[in-house]
Amino acid sequence: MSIRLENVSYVYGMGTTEEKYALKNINLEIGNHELVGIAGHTGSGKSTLLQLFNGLEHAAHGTVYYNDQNIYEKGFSMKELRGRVGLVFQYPEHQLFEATVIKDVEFGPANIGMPPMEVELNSFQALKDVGIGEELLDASPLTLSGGQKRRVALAGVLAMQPEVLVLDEPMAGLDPLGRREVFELLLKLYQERNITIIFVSHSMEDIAEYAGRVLIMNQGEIVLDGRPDKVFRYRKELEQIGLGIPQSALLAASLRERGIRLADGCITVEKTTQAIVEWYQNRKRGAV
Amino acid sequence: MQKKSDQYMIETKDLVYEYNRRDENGDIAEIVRALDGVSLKVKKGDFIAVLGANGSGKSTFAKHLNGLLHPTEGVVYINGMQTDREGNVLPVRQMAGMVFQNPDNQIISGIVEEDVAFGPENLGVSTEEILLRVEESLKQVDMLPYRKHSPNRLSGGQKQRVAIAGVLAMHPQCIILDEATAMLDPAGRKKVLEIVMRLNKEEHITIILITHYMEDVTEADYIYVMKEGKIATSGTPGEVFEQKKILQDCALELPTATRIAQLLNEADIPVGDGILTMEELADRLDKLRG
Repeated sequence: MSIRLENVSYVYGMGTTEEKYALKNINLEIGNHELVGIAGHTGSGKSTLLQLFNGLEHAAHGTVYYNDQNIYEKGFSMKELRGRVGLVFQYPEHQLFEATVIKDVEFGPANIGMPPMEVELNSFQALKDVGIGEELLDASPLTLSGGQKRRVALAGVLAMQPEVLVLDEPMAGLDPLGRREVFELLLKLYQERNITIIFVSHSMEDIAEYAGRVLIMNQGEIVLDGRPDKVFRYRKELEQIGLGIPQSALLAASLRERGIRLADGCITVEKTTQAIVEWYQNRKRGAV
Repeated sequence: MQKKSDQYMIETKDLVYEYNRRDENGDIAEIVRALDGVSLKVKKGDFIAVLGANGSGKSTFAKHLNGLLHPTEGVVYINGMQTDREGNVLPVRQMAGMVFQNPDNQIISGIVEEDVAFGPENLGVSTEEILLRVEESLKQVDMLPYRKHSPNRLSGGQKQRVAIAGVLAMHPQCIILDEATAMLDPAGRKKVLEIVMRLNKEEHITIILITHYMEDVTEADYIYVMKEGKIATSGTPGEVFEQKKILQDCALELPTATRIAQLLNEADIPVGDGILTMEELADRLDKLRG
């Protein structure tokens, strides 16, 4: 699996006086089994980028390739692409509409033309994967809690058996426990399947904790792209564009100003704590 | 009674709120007790935070503070006024303004300054006075340059600031923010919190901040933690953040600095208790060098 964007731009209100570039000359390749976090402040182009991945939005210039196939070419099946690149919108629970949980989950796979038997099996499995019990299959989605609704919405996309799962702020509005549940679910899917996951998040902590690669967007461009521990070295640049670095990295920086040098890669609570423990023990050893 | 209460901005006594959950046929399936005996007092000019996970009752509680909901049992006084007494609804809402979670659900006008004017207009304030208040309120939230803009072109954080200005224009003594930062990006969140803190410090407006982000409340005067409709614990940020077990039960997450400090203490690196910010933690570690 690979998604490749070549010189892609996206323009709002093309041909009008209000013409505005939402994306400018994007070159990007995302490969098999990657776990990518995308950050950028409101209006930086994140959501537009996500919608280019499965062809919901059409680039004004440039080309999008899925497995080296130009998705804008005649004869390319957008329907199939949308099954392979499953997009979960922000607040997906607002889009539940069927009378029962199972019917809602079945809607997506049925819609992309999956045979009825598979639709049923996959939907059943997807609900199991997201931790929705059998007793809720015939419940009305409206009666579920916020966290449950979100998981049902996610199951609706998983049931299409996508190769890529794209999520626009999957944790928005959830409390800390809900956030962790969603992330643990995504990690499990990532580890158990040969799937690529791309998620947008405002939380640098979440990106540091879970992503293997991070893309930072600003004013329609990808300004940083790499491993989180590398990207979070650009503190000044990130702060300038209204973002920042994870809290743990701030601690490491603050200690550095005081002349205390920790090992590299202090971007999560776990790694930073470990680095401080090492520093402390080395000091003690040195003092003795 | 009246006299005793009005030294407090807010006073609730044994507050209970119940609602009916109905099944598909519209019959009552169960009675849900969303608030179960909440008693607290908030002094004028305080900055109070109410923490809790989703479903803990914190938003239901907030809605009692400006009379959007009335208690099933118990009483709520706002500046000495009982919220469910006839004739108190408008004075209570003028006294205690509310900012909600979703910025898109509380902007009603096509122009920023008209939106801010809506509240005082409804209170029957004179036109000249409204103009003054709109300008002053927008200035307080750093949104004056946007007065002629259309709200739908603003970012979420800017919309929330306009919503706060709309509340300020009614000259409230208390502002309740019901998860008002939950849908904002970090920059927007920071700015809204900064403004709220400024209103508290400089204008002495009592602030009730409802949130599930513990990082937002390190500067609060006092914190209440809610769980299943009850107050699970309360205290200053330093006191509350040390109650690891209770916070865990309440599905809350400690600020990163506090979490790292606790892990270090457990690893026999004595950084001590009551650490809320990264600066404090860095200072303590610095001192350990001797």
